Amino acid sequence: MKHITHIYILLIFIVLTACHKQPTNIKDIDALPSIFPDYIGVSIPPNIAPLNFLVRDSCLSTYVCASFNDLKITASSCDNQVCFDIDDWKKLVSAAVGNYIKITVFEEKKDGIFYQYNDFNIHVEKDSIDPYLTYRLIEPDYEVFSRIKIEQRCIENFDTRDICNHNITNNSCMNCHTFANNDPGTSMFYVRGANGGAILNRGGALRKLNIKKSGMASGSVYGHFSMDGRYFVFSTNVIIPGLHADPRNRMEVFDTKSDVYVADLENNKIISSPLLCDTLRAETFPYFSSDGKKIFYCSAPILKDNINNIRNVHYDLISIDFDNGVIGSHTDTIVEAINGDKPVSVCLPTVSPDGRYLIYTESNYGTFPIWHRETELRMINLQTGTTDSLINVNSNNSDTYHTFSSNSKWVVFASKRDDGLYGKPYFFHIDNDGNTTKPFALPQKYPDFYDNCLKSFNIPELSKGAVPFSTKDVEMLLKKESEGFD
Amino acid sequence: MIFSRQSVAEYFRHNAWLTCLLGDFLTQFFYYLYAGPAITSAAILAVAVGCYRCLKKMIGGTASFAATVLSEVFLIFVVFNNSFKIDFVLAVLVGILACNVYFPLFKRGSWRTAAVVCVVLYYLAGFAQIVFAGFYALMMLRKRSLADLLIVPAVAFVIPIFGHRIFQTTYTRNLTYPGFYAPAMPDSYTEFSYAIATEYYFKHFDKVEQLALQQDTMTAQSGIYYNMVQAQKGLLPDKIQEQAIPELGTLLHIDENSPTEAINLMNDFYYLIGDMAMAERAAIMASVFSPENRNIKMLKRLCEINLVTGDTAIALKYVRILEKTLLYKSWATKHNPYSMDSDVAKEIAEKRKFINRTPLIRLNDNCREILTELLDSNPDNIAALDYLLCTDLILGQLQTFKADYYKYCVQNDRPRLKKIYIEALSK
Repeated sequence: MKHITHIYILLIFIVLTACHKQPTNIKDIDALPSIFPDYIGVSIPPNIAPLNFLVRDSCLSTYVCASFNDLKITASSCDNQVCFDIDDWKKLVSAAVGNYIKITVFEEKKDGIFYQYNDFNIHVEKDSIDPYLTYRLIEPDYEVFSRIKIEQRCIENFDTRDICNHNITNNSCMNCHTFANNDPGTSMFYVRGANGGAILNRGGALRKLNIKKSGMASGSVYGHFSMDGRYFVFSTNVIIPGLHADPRNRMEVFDTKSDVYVADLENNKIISSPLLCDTLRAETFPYFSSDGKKIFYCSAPILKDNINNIRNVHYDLISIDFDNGVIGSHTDTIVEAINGDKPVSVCLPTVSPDGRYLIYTESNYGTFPIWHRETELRMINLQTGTTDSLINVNSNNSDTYHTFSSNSKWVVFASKRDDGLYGKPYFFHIDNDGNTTKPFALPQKYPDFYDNCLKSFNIPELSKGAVPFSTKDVEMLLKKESEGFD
Repeated sequence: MIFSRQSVAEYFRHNAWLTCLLGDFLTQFFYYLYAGPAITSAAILAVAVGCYRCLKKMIGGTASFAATVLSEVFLIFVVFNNSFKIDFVLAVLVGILACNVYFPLFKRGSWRTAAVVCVVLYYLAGFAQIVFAGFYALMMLRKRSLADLLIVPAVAFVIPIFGHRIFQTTYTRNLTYPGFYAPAMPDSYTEFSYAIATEYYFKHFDKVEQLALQQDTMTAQSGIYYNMVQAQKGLLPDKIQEQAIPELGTLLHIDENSPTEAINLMNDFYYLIGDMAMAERAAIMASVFSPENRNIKMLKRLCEINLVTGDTAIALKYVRILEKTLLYKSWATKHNPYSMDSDVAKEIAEKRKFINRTPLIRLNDNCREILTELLDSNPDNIAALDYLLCTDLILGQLQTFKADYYKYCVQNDRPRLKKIYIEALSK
């Protein structure tokens, strides 16, 4: 009996140690390792979860060493997946704030040799990022959906929870989630369908709103809160999905009509202006300035036969004053779409909370940048008026749906850079001089998560905390009547 | 089933993880001929044996046999309504097995231990705790223990009140998870649909013809599959003259309300004629409306489509998923864009010739537009040409037929000499 116990202990020891081999027989390779997600040379906030990654080569085992000065942590596995211990990672990153973490990757190949690749660095910025990220998970085809959900992830670790899911909405569609000033206590999202409405959260107290009045083209679609959360600027859009005959371009979505309104959420009133509801123009993607004194939005002339004219649809970036519920009487064009040799189309302006920057997406035409491979982010310095083309941020595929962290130092956006179809949240840093860094993908507990995931991360938004309500609260609210607006 | 740590970990995010995991593991073997009925029958039989063993000690041999037969019949009819999913049967089976283990151990019953068993069963197998509580109540009925009789079933129904908050779903859905359905009659139409679609999938074209022709009147679905086989042989114009064809597929419209079989069918159709945009749309639609949004057949098709269009990065994503499966690993290896099998590469290259390069945007799936665009992109697309001309003839649009024939056969100097075309041209 005693011998059997010893054998068991030995077997357990062998199993536990088999995958944690220290590299002994080492050979250098003069190349960087092929890893996914690409974390080589990125900059990260000090409060991010461990950057677990895959080594793309086939190998028997991997051994990775992450170090800063004398502090060293390791991760090893029997396959190509590299997962750091979260406590070790936190210690290392805390120690390396403002400096570089050196990563060394060893791969054990079939010949029993550990191949050591060139080291690479990860820079740990001093600025933290808001710890929660909210996004919608949906198949990359907006024509149909099933089992979609809005999920919130703590990006300091790997915890997730649903804000709303298909179970409680009877498989209805749900849309953009938005926060006021990254505050989890003031947020809104839409649930479509028979019992749907705009779900407004104020400190955990939920209201279901029907933000619509007669004459509006549709219910609210794209929206944003004023800093204090009292006003909600939104667009109403008649959205038409189309399919490119050439399969390389996939979908095209365009508006046949769109207008911008402001909802006063305290008095349930909708404020409109003829300048924002021009029958000859389509106004969309409204966004408040950080002081709430301006509304930025995109606008383009409505062309006849817009299905065949879609390549001639170019949206300008416009601003209009807004003061305590009163919309201004003139507009300013910030970016003229048709100016120079190559016309562009501007979408999704967002302003940093400190008011210094405005980031928008630029594509060749149209109003649905997520399906345009050429879509890139642009950043305007609102103090100097200069535009940064964000060369080190953009990719060959669509980069869009961006929002700022509450300290204006980090930006999250949805990027299709890895495969052209499935969007993932990527983050980049902006320093005090406006310099930006190479973006990194949201780390996952299991590094092959993105390989297996058949959903797109849609409209990622950062917040300073977790939302103070549960799916059960939303389920109960959906059974109630919506509040109307005048 | 995807064999990766991440995919397996996903099961633990919900209750009933054991039945779902086991169900998915077993379901993958439905790929093999007769494996599906054999596995389902074995599970149902195991339920019968367990049920009989349990009841025998409570109500005696004859009554338990009769009750087992009745419950089995009920179970079988529920399976008919359950899209042939196995996790539902496994949940019942786990509940019955728990009874067979629990009752010999706790002969007098104890509501405390039974309540613990209910919690464990709920976590492992979903509504298995209801099955267990039902048997437990039956046992306590014989022992005339009113407290035990009421407490354990009450616990079984109370657990999901807490569980549905943890697992972020509704109470009803959580109570019946992983799925409980009303009994239904056998659905021979759906079975036939699956049969013909599966034979087409395996490229058993003779079987497809045989199945379609054995019907007294071809259904729209079997007609479309039959014609797809003919189109690949270049015999579509010959066959529409011989057979009463109910549907070519060119007039079938699919949207979110269409049955999955129709969406799958149109995916095959669009892939055949070479319209990769529409084929991808149908493949994603079919995946979206499949259980857990996963459809292995469509995953393979999405991989093929993206290999044809040259989107290697996305094709590789699908290859990587399929490489983690037990049964599609070799297929994935052959379709890896960086180490493609020569036969596959040849097939993909052949398909690539027919890609639609028209710079247009479509708001609908009007097949005439699709076919003409394909022919404008490549006049050698014989399948698209035959479908266009045959649709004209079936609709009785003689003038349109002549115009199309003139444009795509005469002007392009590609005469298509088929008897039915010549007869139509001479009218």
